[in-house]
Amino acid sequence: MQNCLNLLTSGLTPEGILQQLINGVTLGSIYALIALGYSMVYGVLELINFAHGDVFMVGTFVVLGVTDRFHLDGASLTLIVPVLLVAMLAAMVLCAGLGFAIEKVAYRPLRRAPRLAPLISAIGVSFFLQAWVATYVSSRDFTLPNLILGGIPLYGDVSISYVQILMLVSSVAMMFLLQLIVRRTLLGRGMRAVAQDREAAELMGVNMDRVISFTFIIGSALAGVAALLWMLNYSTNQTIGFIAGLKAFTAAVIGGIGNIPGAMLGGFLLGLAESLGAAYISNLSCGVFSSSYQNVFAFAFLILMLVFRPSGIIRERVSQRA
Amino acid sequence: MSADKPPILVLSSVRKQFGGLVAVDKLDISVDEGEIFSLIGPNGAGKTTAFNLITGLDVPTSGTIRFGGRVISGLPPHRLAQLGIARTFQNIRLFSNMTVLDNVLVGRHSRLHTPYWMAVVRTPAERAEEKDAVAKARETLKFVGLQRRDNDLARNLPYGSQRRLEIARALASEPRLLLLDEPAAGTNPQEKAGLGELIRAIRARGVTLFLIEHDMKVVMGISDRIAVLDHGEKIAEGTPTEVRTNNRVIEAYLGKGA
Amino acid sequence: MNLVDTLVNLLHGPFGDQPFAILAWQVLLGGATYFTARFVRGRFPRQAAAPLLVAGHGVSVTMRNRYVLLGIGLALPLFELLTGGYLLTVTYSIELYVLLAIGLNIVVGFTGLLDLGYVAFFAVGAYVYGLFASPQLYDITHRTLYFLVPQTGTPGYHISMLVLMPVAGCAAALFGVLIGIPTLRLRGDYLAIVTLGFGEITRIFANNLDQPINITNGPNGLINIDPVWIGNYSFGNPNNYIGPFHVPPFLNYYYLVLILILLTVFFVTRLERSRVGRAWAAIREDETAAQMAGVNTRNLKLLAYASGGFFGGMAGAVYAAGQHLIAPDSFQLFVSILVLCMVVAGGMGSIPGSVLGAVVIGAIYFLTTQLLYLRILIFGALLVILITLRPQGFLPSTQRAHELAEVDQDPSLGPPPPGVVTA
Repeated sequence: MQNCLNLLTSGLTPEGILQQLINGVTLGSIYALIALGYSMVYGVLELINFAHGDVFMVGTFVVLGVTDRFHLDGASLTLIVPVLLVAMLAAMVLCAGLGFAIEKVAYRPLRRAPRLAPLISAIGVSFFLQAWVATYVSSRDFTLPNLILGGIPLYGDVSISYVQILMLVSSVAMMFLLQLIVRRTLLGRGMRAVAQDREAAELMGVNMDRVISFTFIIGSALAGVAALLWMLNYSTNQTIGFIAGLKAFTAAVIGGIGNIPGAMLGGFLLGLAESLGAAYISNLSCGVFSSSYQNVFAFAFLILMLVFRPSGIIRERVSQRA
Repeated sequence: MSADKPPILVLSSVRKQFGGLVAVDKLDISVDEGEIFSLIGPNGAGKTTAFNLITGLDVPTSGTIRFGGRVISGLPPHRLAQLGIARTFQNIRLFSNMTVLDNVLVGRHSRLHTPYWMAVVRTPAERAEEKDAVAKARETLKFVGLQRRDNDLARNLPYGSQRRLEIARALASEPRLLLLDEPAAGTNPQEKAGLGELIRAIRARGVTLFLIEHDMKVVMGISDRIAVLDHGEKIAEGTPTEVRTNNRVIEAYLGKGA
Repeated sequence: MNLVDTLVNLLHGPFGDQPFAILAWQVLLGGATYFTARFVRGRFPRQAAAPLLVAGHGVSVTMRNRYVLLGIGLALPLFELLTGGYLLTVTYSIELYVLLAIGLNIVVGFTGLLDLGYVAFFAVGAYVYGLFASPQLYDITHRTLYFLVPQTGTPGYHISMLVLMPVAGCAAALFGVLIGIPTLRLRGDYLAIVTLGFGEITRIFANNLDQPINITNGPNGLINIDPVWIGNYSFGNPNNYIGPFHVPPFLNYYYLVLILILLTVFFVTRLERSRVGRAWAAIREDETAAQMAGVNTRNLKLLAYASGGFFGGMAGAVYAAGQHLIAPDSFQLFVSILVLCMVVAGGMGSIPGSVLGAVVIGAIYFLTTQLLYLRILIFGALLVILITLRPQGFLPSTQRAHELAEVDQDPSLGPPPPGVVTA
C-alpha cells in the first residue's frame, strides 16, 4: 500500500506531465495523418482499409532508401533539409501509387461483394506488403541517425525539440492543405458527395472510379508524409504498420469515422493518451500493469469505442439517412 | 366496426423524435380485432416510422403501444413475433439465397419450441415438430398460391410471387396482427386484385390486418377504416367514404388551393 | 526442392539485390502474367479452362462424399508411415487446422459473423487444459484444494482427458459468449476489428499474467503438460507398441483429433439441418428480417460463438496435450487469419469446403517453411487472387454459391452497411 502511494506521488510531476503532453501531441499529429486515410476511405467506401497502415510502413522504408544514399550523419542542415524533402516527396509519390494500385487490384473488383471479401483482400495485401519488405529489404529494425538536434526549453526540464516542432507544423500544414483540396477541388467535392449519399452522387454524374482512386491517392500520400515524420523520431521494421494502423484507425473512430476534422482530433487525443498512458500506467495501477500492457489498453479502448460509441465522441447534428 | 372485443392494437400519444426531426407526434390509433385498417398519407408522413415502432425496430420517444392489452413498446422484435405480430417490408426483405420453403420455415421459428440441443440428437419430439412445421409451411404456401415451388430460390421468383412469399413467411408465425408495408407497390392491376382477395382471405382466418398503402383504389376497396397521417400527425380517421371526402385529407395530398 | 528454388529466383529477378530493382522486376513480371492471362482467356475461353474445370468437378464430387473423406482420413497416416513418415508432423498440424476451420465455419460461414479472433478459443482451451494437466495450477492451489489431489507420482491434478477436454471446450465456449455479448450489435468491419482485438488481448494477457499471481507463467508458457492417457496407455510415450507395430505419439494424437473432427462434423451437420441452421442462415442473409420473423438473433449469435468456441477449445486442449508445453507465441493473430483464409478459400458455410480449404492452404503454408517470409508474401498474393477471382471458395455451399458467384448483384439486395444497427 505504501509502495502504491509512493508510485502515485513520486511518479507524477507537473513537469513530467507537461513533457508527456508535448510528446503526446506530436506523436498524435502523425497518427492524425494516418487516420485521415482511414477516415476518408471509410467515408467513401464504407470499408476499413486494413492495408493502409502497411502503406505507411512502406513509406518509412522509402524514406530510408532515399536517405541512405547520402551520408547524413553529422552533415550540415543545407544537406539534410533538401534530402529530407526529397525523401518526403518520394514517400508521398510511392505511397500514393501503392494506394492507387491496391484499390485497383484488390478492392475495385469486390465493390459489390459482401463485406467479408474486401476485408480478406485487405488482409492479403497487408501480409503481402509486410512479407515483401521482410524478404527483399530486411526484417530488422531501422533508424535514422539523429539529424536535427536541439530544441526550445520551455519550463524547467520541459522542452520541445525542433523535430517535434517540425512534426507539428508539417502535419498541421498538410491537414490544412487537405481541407483546401476537399473543399475547393472538383474531386474533393465529389468525395464529399459520395460520402454523403452514394447513389445520388452517381446519379448526379460523379465518376465513382475517379473519386475513389483520388481518395486513396490523397490518403496514401498523407501516410507518406507521416512516414517521414515518423522516421525523424522513431524506428521502423516491417511490423509497425499493423500497430500504427490500428491506433490510427482508433483515432479515426474517436473523431467519428468519415469525419475529416474528427480524424485529426482523434489522432491528437490518441497520441496524448498513449504518451500519458505509457509513462504513467504502472504508477496509476500501483504496479499491477506494466507498460507491456500498453497495447491491451489501446485495443480495449478501441473495442469500447466501437461497442458503445461508434459514431465518435463528437455529437453530430446529422439528419438520419432514410 | 362495433367493438365487442377490446381493440387489439392501441397507440396512445406516441411520439418519435430523431435528433431534431419529429417523425410522428400525438399519434392515437386503435385497431379493432378482425378489421382491416389502413394508414395512408403523403410521402414522409411517418407511416413507416409508425410501423417500425409497432414492430419493435424502434422505440417511441414517448407514448405507449399496447397489443392485446399489454404494453409492447420496447420489446425486441422476435418477442413481438412470439406474441403474434408479423410484418412485411416495403422493399421486400426475403432471404434471397434460401429456398421458398426455408423462407417460410424461418417464419415459423417462433412457434417451434424444442430446445436446440435436441436438434443434435434428433429426438422423436424434435422430428415430429419439424415434420409438422414443414406441413404447416406448405399449407401456408398453398394458401398464398405458391404451392409446388418449395425448392425454388427466393431470389428467382417473379416480383409478385416474392411479395406473396413474404406474406407467407409472415403468416407462418400464426400472427394475430399482420402489418403489410405497401403490399401493392410495383404490382399490376391483376396482381392487385389477387392481393385484395388474399387480404380478405387472411382476415377470414381471424387475422387483423394493418396496412400502409399508397394505391388509393386498393385502400378504398379493402379497408374497414383508414387513418391519414401528414407530417407525423393524424389528420383524419374513418371509413373510406368519410376519409375520401375529408377536406384536410384532400389538402394534404393535393396541396392548398387545389 | 528445386521447384521452390526456381520460384524464389524467379521472383527475385536478375537485376540484383536493390529493393527498387526487385520491385521493378516484379511489376514487369506481374504485368506480363496478367496480360497473358487476359489474352488466353480472350482467345481460348473454353479450352483454357476445360482441364481445370474437369479436375475441379472431380475434386468437388470426391470431397463431398463423406465416406471417401473418412477413408482418406483414416488411411492417410498409415500410408505416410509406410512411406517414411516425413510428412506426419505436417499432416497432424493440418489436421488440427481442419478442426479449427470447421469450428470457425460455424461462426463465419453459417452465421456470417466476421470473426478475426478465433485463436482466442484455441488459446483458452489450451491454457485451461494446461493449467489442470500440468503442475501450474497445482502449485498455486494445492494447499487449499488438497482434497482434490490424487496421491500419485508427480505433483499435479492429473485429471483424465475425458473430463478435461470437454471442460476446456466449455471454458472456451463460455469465453465465446463473453466475447459475443458486446459485439451483438456490430456489423461487418467493426465486428472484425473487435474480434481481432479480443484475440490479441487474450494473447497479451497470456503473456503477462505471471504477476501478481502466476497463472499463465508469462512468455515461457506452461510446461510439463500431461499427455493424454487411457488406462495405462500414454499417448505421449515414444515406445508404444500395439502388437508388433510401433505407434509413435503423433499417430495416437492424430486419431484422437480425427475422432474430434467426426464429432464436430456430426454436431454441426445436425444443427445446420435443423431450425438452428435455418435461423443462422437467416441471420446471415438479413438480420433485421430474421428478427421480424421471430428469430432470437441474440441467443443464436451467442450459440454460434459458443459452438465455435467449444470446438476450438477442444482443439486447443489436444494441442496442449500433444505438445507438452504451450506458450503465448503459439497463439498469434496470424493463426486466426490463417484459419479464416482456410474457411473462405474452401467455401464458407460448407463443411467439405472447410476441410479442403484447410488441407490446401495448410499444405501451402506448412510445406514451405524454408521460404521464411516469402511464403507469407505468396500467401498474401494468393489470398487476394483467390478472393477476387473466386470469392465463393473451392467448394461453396449452394447458398453461398448463389450469394457470391454473381458479384454484380443489385446492391440494395445486399447486406446492410457495417456499423451499429439502431435497435
